[in-house]
Amino acid sequence: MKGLYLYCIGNGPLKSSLGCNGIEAEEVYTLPYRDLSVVLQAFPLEDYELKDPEILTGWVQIYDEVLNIAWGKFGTIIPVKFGTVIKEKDGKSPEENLFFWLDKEYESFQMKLSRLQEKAEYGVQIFWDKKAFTEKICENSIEVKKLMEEISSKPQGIAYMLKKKLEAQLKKEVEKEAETTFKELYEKIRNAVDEIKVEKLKETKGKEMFMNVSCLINKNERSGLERALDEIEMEWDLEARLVGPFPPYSFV
Amino acid sequence: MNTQGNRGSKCTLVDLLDRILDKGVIISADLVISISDIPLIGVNLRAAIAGMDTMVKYGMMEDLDKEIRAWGRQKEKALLEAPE
Repeated sequence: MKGLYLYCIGNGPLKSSLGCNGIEAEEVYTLPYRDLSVVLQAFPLEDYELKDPEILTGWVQIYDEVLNIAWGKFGTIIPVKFGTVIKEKDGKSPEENLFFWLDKEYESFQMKLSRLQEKAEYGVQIFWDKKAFTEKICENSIEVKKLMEEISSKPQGIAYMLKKKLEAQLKKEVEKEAETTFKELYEKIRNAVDEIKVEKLKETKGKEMFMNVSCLINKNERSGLERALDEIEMEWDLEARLVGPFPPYSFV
Repeated sequence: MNTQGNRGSKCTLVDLLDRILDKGVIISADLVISISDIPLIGVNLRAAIAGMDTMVKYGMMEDLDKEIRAWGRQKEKALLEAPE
């Protein structure tokens, strides 16, 4: 017996092949449940050890492809967590367990599908030049400027104490300014989208991330968000990156 | 992955990993088999692609603190060494 590797829940009942191959060239197909469908494939049941990053890359690409096809077919989908394989349990087959789960979650899926109807997810990343940001504060802060002047005019011992004070002051002001800027950007983006979710900051090559958010908006209505990002780049002198559209991974 | 309009950046593998690996609806653990190592390999893979030793910063302040301090020290050193 094989397990069932799940991809997503689709809006509308459909029993057919999805028209693409999944992991290990197994057919990806859909099973209807009431007015929903689940998109899935067969998968080996023994505990699977994934040692090779290339295999994971392949799985991620297949997952992305399958979800995009399903998204096109169903219009609205709920992604299932990557790497979910339903097993047999207490003498019940994977398929029985799948339907048990669908039955239990049916109402929650219905609510999610109606909330996500015709919506798409976009990723927004804002990058900053931290050094320029700090230098600007040095130029504008009376307190910091005063401390710098004092340091240059005092003997070394006192200057040492003052520079500790300067460090603390600068840190406080940079944090405060960064927090204010973050709130302003958040408000600006939030006003241009239906839902927004703050994500962890990620390491990126050569650039420092200041803000990372996922946004939910109506499909084909991204111009408001694009405008907000243009304004952010102009007004705050930051770099904004928009990526998508994606199925609503972050809003389920 | 599709992109459209003026602003859509090309979706990279790193974008996909960030978006896919720990999202989506979850099924109770007793009904699913565990595919071990997905989180670990995912982290390593992302780090390798992004060319990093570490992957996720949980907040910017920790990092900011270090850099600002280093930068502050440099500035102060310059100030102290400047001829009077």
